[in-house]
Amino acid sequence: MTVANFSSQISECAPSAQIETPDFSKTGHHLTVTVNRDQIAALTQKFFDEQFFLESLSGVDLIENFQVTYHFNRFKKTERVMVRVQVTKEDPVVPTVSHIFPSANWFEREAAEFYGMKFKDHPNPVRLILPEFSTYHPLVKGYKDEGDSAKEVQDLIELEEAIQKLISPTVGQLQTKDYFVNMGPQHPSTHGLLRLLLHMKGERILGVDPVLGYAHRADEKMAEIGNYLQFWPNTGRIDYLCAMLYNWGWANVVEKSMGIEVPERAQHIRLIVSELNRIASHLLWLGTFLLDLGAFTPFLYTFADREKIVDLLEMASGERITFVYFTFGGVLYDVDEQFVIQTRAFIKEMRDHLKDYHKLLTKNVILLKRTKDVGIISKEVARLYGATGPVARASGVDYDIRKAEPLSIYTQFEFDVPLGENGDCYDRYTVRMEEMEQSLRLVEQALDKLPEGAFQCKPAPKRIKPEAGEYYQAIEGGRGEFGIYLVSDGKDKPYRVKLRTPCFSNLSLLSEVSKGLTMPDMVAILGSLDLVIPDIDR
Amino acid sequence: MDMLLVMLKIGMYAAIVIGFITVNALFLVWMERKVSAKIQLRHGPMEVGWHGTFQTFADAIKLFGKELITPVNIDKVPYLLAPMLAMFPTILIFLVIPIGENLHILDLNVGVLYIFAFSALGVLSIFMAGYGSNNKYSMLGAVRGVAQSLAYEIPLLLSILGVIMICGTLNLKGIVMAQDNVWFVLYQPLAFVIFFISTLAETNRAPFDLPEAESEIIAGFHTEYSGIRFAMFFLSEYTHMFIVSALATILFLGGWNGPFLPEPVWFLLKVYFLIFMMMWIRFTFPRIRIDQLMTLGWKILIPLALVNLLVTGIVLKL
Repeated sequence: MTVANFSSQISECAPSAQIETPDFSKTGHHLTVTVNRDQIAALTQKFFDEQFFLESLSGVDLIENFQVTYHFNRFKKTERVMVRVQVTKEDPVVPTVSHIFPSANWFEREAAEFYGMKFKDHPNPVRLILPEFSTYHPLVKGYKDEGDSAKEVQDLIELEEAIQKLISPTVGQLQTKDYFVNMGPQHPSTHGLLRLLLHMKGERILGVDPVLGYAHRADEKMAEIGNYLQFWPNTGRIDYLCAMLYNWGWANVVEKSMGIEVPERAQHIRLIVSELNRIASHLLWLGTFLLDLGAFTPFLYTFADREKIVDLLEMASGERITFVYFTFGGVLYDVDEQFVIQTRAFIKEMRDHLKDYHKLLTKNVILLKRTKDVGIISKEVARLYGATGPVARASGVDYDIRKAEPLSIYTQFEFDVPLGENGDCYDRYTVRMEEMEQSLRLVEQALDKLPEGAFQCKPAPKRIKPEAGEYYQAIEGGRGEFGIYLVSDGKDKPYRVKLRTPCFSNLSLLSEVSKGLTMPDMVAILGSLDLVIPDIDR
Repeated sequence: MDMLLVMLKIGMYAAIVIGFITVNALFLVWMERKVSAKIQLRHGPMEVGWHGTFQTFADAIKLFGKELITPVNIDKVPYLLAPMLAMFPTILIFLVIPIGENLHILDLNVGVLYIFAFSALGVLSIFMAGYGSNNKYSMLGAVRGVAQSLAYEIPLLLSILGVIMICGTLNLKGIVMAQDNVWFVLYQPLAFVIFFISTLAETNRAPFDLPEAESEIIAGFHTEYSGIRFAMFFLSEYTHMFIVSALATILFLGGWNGPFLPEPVWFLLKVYFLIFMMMWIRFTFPRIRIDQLMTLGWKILIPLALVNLLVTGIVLKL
C-alpha cells in the first residue's frame, strides 16, 4: 500500500482531516494531514498499525495558535506523512501519543517545556532539557530572557540542600538496600555531559533515568534569530563528529525548498567529504567503545587513522572538526589534485588497517563475551522508539536514508547497507565496522567519477528566502537520521527549525534495554549507542 | 654493642628493601609506559633523561608535593589506615624472596606460607579504602575487590600445591634447588597457567582490573585518594606485580638457575619477562565483566586446579 491511496483510510479514522498531497521533491512530505486534537490518538494508532514510526514531533508557535507537528515515516522506503494539530493558546492541551509510540514521550516533554503546551495523560510531564523547575518557555515568539527571579533561585538552593541531606549517607548508617548512583555528568564513559540516574541493587541495574540538558545551547532558537546563512556554524556543532553530514542536512533542506541546482562536481565533493567524515566518526566511536570496554590500545590506533582523515578534510575545507564547508548550491572551496591523490592513498591504507582491526578485535574472546547478547534492541523496540542509523540497522531494520530517500548523487554509486540480526552490542559493532568499508567504496567510486566543472552554482543564490511553507528533509548522519523540519514564512529568517537528531531518539530507548544488566553492561551499551551529547541536547 | 649491631642490621635491611621497592616501582612505571607506547605506536616519555628514564622520578616528586584531599563524611580510621596497610605487607614479603643462592634477608622454612599469608592482607586495604571513602563507586570497587580475591586466592593456592608435593618443602630456596635440572613449569604446565591467570586477578591487573575499572566505576577504591596516599596504593600495586612474578619464577621457572649469567641477573630477567607479559596482556585485551570473572574463577580455574592436583598426586604415588 502506498501513501497515495492511504488518504481514504486516514479520513476513515479521522473524519475531520484535511489531506493535501504536496510536492515531495520540494517539501519532503508525501501527505500532509490536518486534524482536530481529539482525533490525533486514533490517527496515530492507525499509523502504528500500518508499520510507520514516529520520526519527529515538534511544536510551532503560530502567533494565534500552537501547532504540534507529527512526522510519520516508514522504514525501507521513505513514505513521509506530516500531521498537524492546532490548538489555541488559551487551551494548549493535546492528547499524548506516548502510549502508542514511546518515542513521543521525550518529544512531547520537549515541546511542552519550550512552548508551554500540555500533553494530556502524559506519563511523566516534567521538564526534559531545561532545568526541572524553570518556568519560562523560550521558543514562544516574543520570549524575552529575564533571567531567573530571585525566588526561583532561592527555591533551587533550598531544593539542592534538601537533596544533599537526603542522598549523603553518614557513617554508621550504611544499610543493605538498593541505591541510586549518578553516572555523570562527569563520568569517563558518558563521553560528555550526560547524566544517568541509575537505580541499582549491588551490581545490577533496576532502572535508568537519563537526565539531559547539560549541553543544551538552544540551537533551534539561534536558528530563528539569525538568517539562513548564519545558521551554518551551528550545523557543524550539533553532532561535531560528523559536521560535514550535518552541513549537508542544512544545505539539503534549504536547496530543495528553493529549487537550487547543485553542480555535479560539488555533489561529488560533498559525497566524498561526507563519507570521509562518516569514517572518521566511526573510527572515533571504535576507539572510545573499546576504551569503555577497557581496551586502551585500539583508541590510539583509530585516532592515528582518524587524524589522516582530519588532515584530508582540512585540505579541502581549512577546518578540522566543526566544519562549515558547504554553502547553498555547492561547497565553499574546490578540491585540488593533491587532495584526490592523498585520498586514494588513504583508502588503500585504511583497508589494510580495517583488516588489522578485525584481526585484533572481531574474534577477541573477551570482546565477544562483553558484547554478545548484551543490550538487545529488538526490531519492534527500534521502531517504537524511533531508533535510526547503525543502532536500528543492527537490529535488522533496513533503513538507511542513503537508500530509502537518496539524495540524487547516491543513486549513481554501488554500496550495501549492512544489517545485523540480534541487535546486541556486537551487532552494532559489526554493522559500524562494515559501514566503514562501504563508505570507503563510496569515496573510491566518487573519486573515479569526479567530474570537472563548477563547485558552486552560478549565479550563487544571493537571497536565501524559501517560500512560505513547511519542509522536512533528512540525511543519514553518522549516528542515524538527521532531519530538519523547517517552517518558513517567506522572510529571510527561518520561522521555526526543528532538529530531529538521531542520538536523542537512540538514547530514549536506554531504559528499555538496560534493565537487569550490570554496570559494565551499561557502559558497553552506552558505548555501542555512540552518543554525542550536543546531538542530544542541541 | 650487640644491640647496636642488631639495630644497624635491621636499619640496613629496611633501607635495602624500601630502596629496592621504590626503584623497582619507578622502573616498572617507566617500563609500562614504554611498553604501552611501543604497542600503541607511540614514543612514550622522551624528555626527562635518556628516553624519559627520569620521567617517573619527576612524576613521583610531583605526586609527593600534592595536596592531600580528605573528603567529607569519611570513616577516618579505615580511610587513613588503608594506604599504609597496602604498603606494609609488600615490604614484609620482600624479606624472604631469594634473588640468588645466598642473596636473601630471611631464610624461612615456610617461605611460601609466609608470602601468601601477607599478600592476602592486600584485599583488606582495598576494602578499608572503599568502605572509608564515603563514595558509592569506591564501595562498589571494594566489594568487587573482596569478591575477586575470594575467587582467585583458592585456585592460586591449589595451583602451587602440585609444586610443593613434588619438591616436598615450603622453603623457597629448597624449591629453587629442586629445579636444578628441570624447571617445574615442564612438570606442571597447567598449574603455571592457572597460577599466572590467578595472579593477574590477584594483583588487579587488566583484564581483571575490576576494582579500579576507570571506565565503569572511576578508579574504584582509590577514587578519593590523592597525593602520597594515592602513591602508596600505586607503589604497592607495582611491588605486588614484582612479588607475584618473583614467586612464579621461584615456583615454576627455576628461580636463579641458568647458564653463563650471574644468579641475580637470571632471576631478575625472568621476573621482568613475566611482568612484561602482564603489560602485554593489559594493552591487548578489553576488561572482563564481574560475573564472568566469578564464573572463570569458581567454575573453571578451581576445578582445573583440583584435577591438576589429583593427577600430580597419582603420578607421584606411582
